[in-house]
Amino acid sequence: MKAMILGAGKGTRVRPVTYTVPKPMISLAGKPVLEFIVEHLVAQGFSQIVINTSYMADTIEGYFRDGSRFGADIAYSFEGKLVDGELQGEAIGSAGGMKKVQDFSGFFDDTFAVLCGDAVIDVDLRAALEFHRSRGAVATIILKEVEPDEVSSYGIVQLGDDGRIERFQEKPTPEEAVSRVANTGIYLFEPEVFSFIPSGVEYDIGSQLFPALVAAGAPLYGIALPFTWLDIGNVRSWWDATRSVVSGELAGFKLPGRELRPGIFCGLNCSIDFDAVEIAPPVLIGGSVSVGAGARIIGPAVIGPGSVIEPGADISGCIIDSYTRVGGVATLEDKIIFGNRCISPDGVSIRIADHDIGWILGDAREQGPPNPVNETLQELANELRDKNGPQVLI
Amino acid sequence: MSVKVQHEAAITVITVAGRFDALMAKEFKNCIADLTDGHRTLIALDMAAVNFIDSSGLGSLVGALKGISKEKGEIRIAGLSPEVRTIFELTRLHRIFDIYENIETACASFG
Repeated sequence: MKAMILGAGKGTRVRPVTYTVPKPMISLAGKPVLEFIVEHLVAQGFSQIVINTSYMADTIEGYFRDGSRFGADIAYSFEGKLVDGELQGEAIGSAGGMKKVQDFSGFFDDTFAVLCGDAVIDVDLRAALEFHRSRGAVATIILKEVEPDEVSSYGIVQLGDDGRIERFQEKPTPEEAVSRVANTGIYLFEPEVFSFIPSGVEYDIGSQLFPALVAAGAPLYGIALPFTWLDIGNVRSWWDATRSVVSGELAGFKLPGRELRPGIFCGLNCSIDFDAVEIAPPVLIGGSVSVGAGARIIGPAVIGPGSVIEPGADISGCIIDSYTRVGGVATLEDKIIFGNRCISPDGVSIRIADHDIGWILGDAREQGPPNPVNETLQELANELRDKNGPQVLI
Repeated sequence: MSVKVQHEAAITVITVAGRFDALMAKEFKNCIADLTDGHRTLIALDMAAVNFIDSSGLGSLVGALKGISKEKGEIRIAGLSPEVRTIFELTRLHRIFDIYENIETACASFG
């Protein structure tokens, strides 16, 4: 069967992470979100996949290529143009992206799935397909109940008794919301839907196509299914999703590496003396990582491949990008170190280079000059440690 | 001036504002040297208006702590912005300094 993955967005709500990678390529436990989606589609029988790309298109297309590595046939619908040797994206919206593919080749010739490229899911698409066909729907939205305080982040729907969608609300306040049933960005469509999408203009599925279908009295249905939905809508949700995956909460996903201690997974070629460090699970450590004596890593945490955790560093609840050097006096609590930035899940972000603190956080491949402040801090740490005993960290 | 000094009984309140970089660090170091020379070593440092701190700024704070501790004095810090707080956490300074929500609570903490 055929499917389309929406991968053209700029991911503005996940900035600054998306300054470095496009949102679909943000990884959970070392694996891009889009790879989870492709694998799930293939497992569910949807192996002919078009991905629309725009922002940092090369990163996505270079990773998945023709899809054969994933058991899929993949083609790309690039939205933009090449100007002076540089790719420039041109947004045409989610429905506009579907229409562009259909106008180009008539690719969608039977029931097809459309998914957003920013959430890991394990939804039973076959069950959804059965529902979709039994209702004679032109479009079916896969829904999921969310917490009352989360409704303002989603499209909320009101369902009739037979699952027909009666009303749509885009990101309502908890007081205004007609239900807690949210649009998950996973859809099944019949090719007839294209008669409701104009050609050559920016057009959105949630805010334009679905209201148009409701207004026209077209058979638009929704089905709420229980499934895992790890949405990477913002930095906090990425952090939460990573913690969830590392904690083994994603059914069927095996963490990479070898489980050297319960809940502690390590890639190959790591230099870690487990008797000299404190590591509390769940922790995922990539290949070729070194962890110095006296360092402390408290999970859930991910240490990217090639990173150097210097002796004495204190890390808890962090996602650390590949080739990061964490200095010995560093304390990282609930932080994301990514793209030369230190990001807190609440959105506070600092560029490490701006603050001249490369001696705390830097690139593991770079040998920076020793910094006097670091030396003073080390001295102070040693003085206090001698005075107060080894249990005091500094 | 980006470093202001105000005496409140035994406590000296230092207010720093703007970028706590090499330039301000120099001014701050001089200020601390004057205070320790004058035996005024109970210091509340108001950093609420500091929007940036770098390695030099951190170095001057650590230097001040060492100098004041030698004189049996104390320095307490108040009002860190989320960005500056992050830098303090990364460099473990949040465990070295006593940090208060605002300058009033910092001053009150001296008793």
